[in-house]
Amino acid sequence: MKTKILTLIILSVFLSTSCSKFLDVKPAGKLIVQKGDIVSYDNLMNGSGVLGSGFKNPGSYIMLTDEIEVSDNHNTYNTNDSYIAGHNAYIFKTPYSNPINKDNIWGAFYTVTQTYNCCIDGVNEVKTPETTEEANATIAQATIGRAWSYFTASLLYGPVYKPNGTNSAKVLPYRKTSQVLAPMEDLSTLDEVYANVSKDIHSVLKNVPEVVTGVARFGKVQSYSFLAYYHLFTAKYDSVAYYANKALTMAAEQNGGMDNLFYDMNKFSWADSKVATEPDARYRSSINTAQGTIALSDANMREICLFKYIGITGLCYPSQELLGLFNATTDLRREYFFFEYDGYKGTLGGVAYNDGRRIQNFQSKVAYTSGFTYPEILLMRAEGYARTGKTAEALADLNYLRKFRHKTGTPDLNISGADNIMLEIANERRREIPVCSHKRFADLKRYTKDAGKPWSKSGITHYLRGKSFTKNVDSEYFVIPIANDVIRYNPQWGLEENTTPWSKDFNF
Amino acid sequence: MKKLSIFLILCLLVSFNTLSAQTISLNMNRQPLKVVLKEIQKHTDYKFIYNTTIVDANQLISINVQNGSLKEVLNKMFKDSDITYQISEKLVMLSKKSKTNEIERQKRSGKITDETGGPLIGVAVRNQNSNVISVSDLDGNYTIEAKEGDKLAFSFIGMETFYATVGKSVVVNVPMRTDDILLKDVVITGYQTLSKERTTGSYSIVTSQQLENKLQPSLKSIIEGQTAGVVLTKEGNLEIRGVSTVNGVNTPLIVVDGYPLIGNNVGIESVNPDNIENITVLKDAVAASIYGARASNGVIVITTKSAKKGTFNLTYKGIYQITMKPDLSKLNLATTEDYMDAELDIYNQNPNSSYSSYNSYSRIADYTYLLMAKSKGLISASEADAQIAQLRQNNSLDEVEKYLIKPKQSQQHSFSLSSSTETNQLNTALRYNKEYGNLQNNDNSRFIFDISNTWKPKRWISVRAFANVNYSETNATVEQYSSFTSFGSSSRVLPYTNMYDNSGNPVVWSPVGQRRMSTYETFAGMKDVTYHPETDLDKAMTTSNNLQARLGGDINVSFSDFLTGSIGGSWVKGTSKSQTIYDAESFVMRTAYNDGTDAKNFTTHYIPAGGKIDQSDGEIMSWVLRGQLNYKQNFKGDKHRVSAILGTEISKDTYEYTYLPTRLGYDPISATYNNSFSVYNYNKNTNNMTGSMLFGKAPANIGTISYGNNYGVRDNRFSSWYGNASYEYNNKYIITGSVRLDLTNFFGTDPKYRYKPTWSVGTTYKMAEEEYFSGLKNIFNRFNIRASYGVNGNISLNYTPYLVLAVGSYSTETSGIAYTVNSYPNDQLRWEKTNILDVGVDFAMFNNRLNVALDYYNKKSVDLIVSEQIDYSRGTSTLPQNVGGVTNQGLEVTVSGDVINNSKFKWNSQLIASYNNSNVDYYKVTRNYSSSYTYLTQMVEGYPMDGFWGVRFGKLDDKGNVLYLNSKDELVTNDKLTGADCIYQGHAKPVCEISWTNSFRYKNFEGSFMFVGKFGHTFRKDAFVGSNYNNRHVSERWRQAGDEATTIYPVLNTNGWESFYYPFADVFIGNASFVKLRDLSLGYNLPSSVVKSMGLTNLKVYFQTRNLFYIAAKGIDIDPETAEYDKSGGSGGMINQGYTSLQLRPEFYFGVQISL
Repeated sequence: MKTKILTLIILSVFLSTSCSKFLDVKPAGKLIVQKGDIVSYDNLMNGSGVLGSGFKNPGSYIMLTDEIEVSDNHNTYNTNDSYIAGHNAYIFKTPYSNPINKDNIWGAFYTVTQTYNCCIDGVNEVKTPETTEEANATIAQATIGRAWSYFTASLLYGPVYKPNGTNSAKVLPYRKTSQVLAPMEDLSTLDEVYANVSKDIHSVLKNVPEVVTGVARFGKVQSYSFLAYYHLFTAKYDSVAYYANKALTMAAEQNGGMDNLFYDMNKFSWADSKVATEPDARYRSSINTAQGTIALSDANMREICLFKYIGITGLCYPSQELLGLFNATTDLRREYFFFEYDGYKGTLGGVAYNDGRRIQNFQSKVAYTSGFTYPEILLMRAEGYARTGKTAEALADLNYLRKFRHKTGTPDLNISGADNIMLEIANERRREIPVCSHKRFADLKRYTKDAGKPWSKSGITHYLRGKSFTKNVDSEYFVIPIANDVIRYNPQWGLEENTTPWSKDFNF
Repeated sequence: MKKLSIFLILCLLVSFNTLSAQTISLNMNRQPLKVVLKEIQKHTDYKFIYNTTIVDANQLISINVQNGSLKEVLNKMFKDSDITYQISEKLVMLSKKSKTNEIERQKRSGKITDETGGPLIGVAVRNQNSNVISVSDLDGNYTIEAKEGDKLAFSFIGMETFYATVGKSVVVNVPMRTDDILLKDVVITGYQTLSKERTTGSYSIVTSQQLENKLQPSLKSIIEGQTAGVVLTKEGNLEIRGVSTVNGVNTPLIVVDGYPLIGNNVGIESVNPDNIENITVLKDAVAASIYGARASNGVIVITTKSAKKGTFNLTYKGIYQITMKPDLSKLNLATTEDYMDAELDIYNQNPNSSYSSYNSYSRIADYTYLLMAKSKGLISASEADAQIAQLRQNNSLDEVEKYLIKPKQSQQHSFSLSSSTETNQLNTALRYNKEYGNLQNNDNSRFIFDISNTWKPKRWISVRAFANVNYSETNATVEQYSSFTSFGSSSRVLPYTNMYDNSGNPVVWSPVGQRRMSTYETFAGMKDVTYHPETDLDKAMTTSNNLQARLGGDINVSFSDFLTGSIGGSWVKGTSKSQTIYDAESFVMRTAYNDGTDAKNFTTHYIPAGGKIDQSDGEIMSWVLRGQLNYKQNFKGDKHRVSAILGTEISKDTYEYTYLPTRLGYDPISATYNNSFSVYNYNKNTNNMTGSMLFGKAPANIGTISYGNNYGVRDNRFSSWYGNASYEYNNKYIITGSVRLDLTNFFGTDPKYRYKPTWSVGTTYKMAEEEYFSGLKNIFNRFNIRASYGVNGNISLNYTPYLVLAVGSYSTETSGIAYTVNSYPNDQLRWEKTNILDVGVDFAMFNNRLNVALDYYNKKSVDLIVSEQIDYSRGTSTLPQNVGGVTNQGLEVTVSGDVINNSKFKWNSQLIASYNNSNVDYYKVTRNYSSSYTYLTQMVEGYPMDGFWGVRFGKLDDKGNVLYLNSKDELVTNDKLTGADCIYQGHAKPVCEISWTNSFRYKNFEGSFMFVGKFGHTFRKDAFVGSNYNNRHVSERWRQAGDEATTIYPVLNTNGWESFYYPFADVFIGNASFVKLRDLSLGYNLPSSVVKSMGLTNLKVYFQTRNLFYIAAKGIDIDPETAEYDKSGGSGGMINQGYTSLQLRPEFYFGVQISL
């Protein structure tokens, strides 16, 4: 009987045991960041979430610039869905993209900003007094990263920015919370975006580390470059020169001298020895830089200051205008990245077509970025100098770059007059920045304000099947509209969906 | 089996009391018989034994005796009743008095035994001519008065009634057999064992006898077709009444010997099918709510065998199996001639492409290479033409089938030993099975050892302990049959590859990028890069093993006649290990070594010589602890029966795994590897160091070089309280209720969602017990109506309320270890809920000759966790939330009857039909594109869960391109198709599944066959859709204007664009319904005289065949079961529906069972 009673007691105790402590653990095996762990949030900035994965897919805006031309054959025979938006954009047939589609580029920008927001909110939640410095450094990088993303997005989704005017067009929601289900912000005007970007950068600039671990992060050099770029659009050219100079000087110090920020293309060679004799050997060969062990196609090759994905496309050829900017005999960029290869050809439905041999741009041989390269920063400084009357300094910068790009022995430029120098800087930018990227798209939109200047264009003309198509840069044709599905999710914005029928039938 | 029956006969065993007097004084007025007998036992050392089907233990007795002997008491007690008694030593057997003249009859006697030869106690023996009844004693012996010609009926619960006609002999020995049908009357829920008559829920029961003649090694496939509502899916999962979740756990909870199997690799396969006593499937809310939050998908409760009282048994069962070789022509591939014709067409369409591939050192198809080399002048035209002519002669598919593929085989060995004494029941079982696959060096084996003992040292306490040890091992070649048969432009084997010479000797070739060959030649020390699947197969192997031990037990204490309690638990510990080893001489490692050479310095190798080893280890530990009180009491005779349980349970499931870094330069003999190889540096630098390695980049076919040291853990905890109660009135009306509260460490940061009970109520009405039913009683001996309703839960282990990050690998773009957001926080995540309504009717006719069970159910699942699409301006396009809803409705019918049942021939036929229809109630997804509908199967509101959705074919245009019909019936090209143009094309899963089993027994032969049928579902037929020129229909494609009138197969087009639309066209939907002879088995028990002379108690030989033939719908030219919806498929350019699986082939089994 004693045993029975004892058993009953044990059982009763067991039955009434509370298990709240037993359950009071977070599920193991999942990285739920603990107090003081700044590093885990910092490492979010090593993920592709900050690079803009959708941004690397070509958007239709790429096809709006003067850098490219589409062949009649390509337009006729390439029926692939993804090319239709590009072809529509090329002939300014709106809507460019199918309005039922999700806007992957918009999505990519907001993936980037959300990643940075998670860093900022996360660090604020787990930081401790002991980790203040580390926390501030992470928050600073993330804040500038977020600003960069919104600024770049505004170049695509906003109209031409008027530095001395009112920019009241509503562009995008400047979201600063990582709470997914938090209420959606109202759309910011272009003025508000510019103000927010500037405020964000300057609020944290002092905490930005001088040296960062990878080229995808915003250290001091990258942040100064961003400020220089920002002021190209606000037309504060003294600030452009100031920040570009700060960026270059600091980078030169960190890398053992200015020369180490550039590849001297005179030292380049083709890896394939048959390049001299076989017409197609260039196509298959890689390029030996003879300057460091990092490949030219790597994200951290020496000329890249800030790496972010970029939209580039293979559905067109470089325009004759662009090719005409290169000196075919002395410019080494022309030799290594633009050469003749078989054009678009094939058979469809029994019909053979062939573009023949065409000069094409071989983008895969070199890493491109929508961030910044040192040559671009140098050219920003040059532009800053040229537009503030420091023509000698501007010319010196131009000639400094040219010695790396042209065959040894090519004479320096010897031109005078601010406009002449500025035109040459604008042309040099076109030679340096990725072909048909958003960079040229954005440049066209800021140059158009310099009406009457040789580097400014009021409109862009494209040709297809013997017809020409022209549209003004400062018009809705150069603004990417907010996608219908985003509008549907946010009726409070008061935007209307685009109901224009979309098709690929080109009845022109 | 007898153990269960013992529950049902009242066998009152009392301990001997030396102080008791042998005279009895009793004064009892109108007390139930059993109460009186109990009282007598207090004063004597006699035991009473009687069969409740003969003697009514509740009949009221009045007696008044002072100091009488036992005989005096008994005579007085039974004076006016129909009961008589017989005293044998200390045993009193009660039976019914004879009503006829007994003088003509003389005593007959004999021994009653079960299949194992063990005695059967308490068997009712009825002389059908005189109605005299007797009962067998503790040794199975009986005595009854009978004359020649009288018919004797021997009946015992759980056994088939045995009939014998009395001859001249005075001795009539009786061998009785277990009755499958009656055994189905016991329900084991894991918490309780109940008579089915006492329940309100919906259960299905599978007995060991049903399993015995199924010889296949997989327990899952053994269960197929045995119970209504339980189906085996194409993916090999058991499903009970459809799936009621989207992202949660979608398989039933498996409970073995009372405790759930939790943790990795602790599935139903860890149970020895030869050691199963009973499988109870709990299908509705009543049954399942006691398992609470994990019972949404139903519960399968398995009870293993235990020793029969007083017996000793040793049995061996051995089975050999062989499966016919696969017929590769059923893969529906293009012939060599058609394939080459298409390859030529492709080459002409885009001659640049092959040259680009060649230049980038990629492998291109041999025929394409010859065409390209000829046009670029790399080889002479005559040489190219000669080689092409040679290629046309080859047929690799035939050679693969002839030389590489083997028939599958398996062997199973099973031993069981059981022994029982008054206080101990020991059962051990050991099983080993090994299966050999279609390719050499592919096999898997499993070893299962079980031991269990129940010890009953005192009448009021019993202690049960059990152990289960599982060891499984799998050896698989990295390359499988699909490596040699899924022809693509860079495949090593193509339809025209010559693999064997005329004598069947392997012919080697070099399947590397053609341009690489000349580069290798310029370097010294390069390895040979020739290849042949037969010699390369065993040089790249994945082996894995898994050891796991499950220990458990419980203590059951009886506090009084109506209150018992138990404490118990189970503990699982297991380790698993998986290794993939590429031998140094494997094709992959040889080419990697070559390609990993420094372009400038051929003595530098970034990939060291030797093999490659990847390894991962896992360790699980889980436990469950439970305490439970059981209450059971009847009042006023048995007019009111009350039972209840109350319990608590806590469980913890932990898992740790480690992926070790990839090691190169591995030597299996010395078990050493190259220490200087740095995975980090390899991935950081070498992999992207264009220009440094021979061909720019690291060899692609070496696969992932893992950093390893990936380490993960899991710690899932649950804590639960539960209770249930049942009340039965007058053996007519039952009501039950249950409630359970589950807490977990996964959810519940918001307290509103933490304490969420699951519950159920149920009722049964036994109509046949009513007075008004008495007129029908001779037709329906049972007629029960059941109804139940309740809420079950389910968990999704993938989501938590916290922000969860994920650690990625080193990113060369950001120069750091990349972290990503795994899931965004949501503190409102909670259990999924399933509300289940079940209404059922069970009836038995003609004295249990025909049994019918009907069930209707409605399972409404709400709060399902689904990734709902949200505004992607919020940083993510989907967020998991408890917003999904699905309803499953169904009907289940089981009809079982003895068509013929006499002592010589027995034929039982059972038809089971299950109908399930699901409906998605809520699932919010934006589907703009047709591809949003066509990928795999889709959940669309208002339609079944696993729906096929696709586009409508219009016609081919005059260029051979496909034109589709849009929602306005206009002909459009694929780019114009939107989501709105897609239509529902049918279920991917069967709507109705039937099984029809017929079992026969004639003398010593027994046999059965089972047909299974699946109906109401569709499948996507294989088709040539423009780019997949490995398909058999490529030859029927559009080639010139006018062909569109006669073919639906489009023009060959390498861009593959059509393959995102056309495979999903309505013209390629086929009817997947089929009926198949799933199995047919024969068994023969050797005559007992022969068996006894061998010193055995039983010897049985078996034969079984599976999947002998099938009948499919009209016009379906492939086995629909092979082509059924397969989640492993995709929608890419070369995908070929119906291709991914080898057809099911007939299997043959031979077996023997020997018992000592």
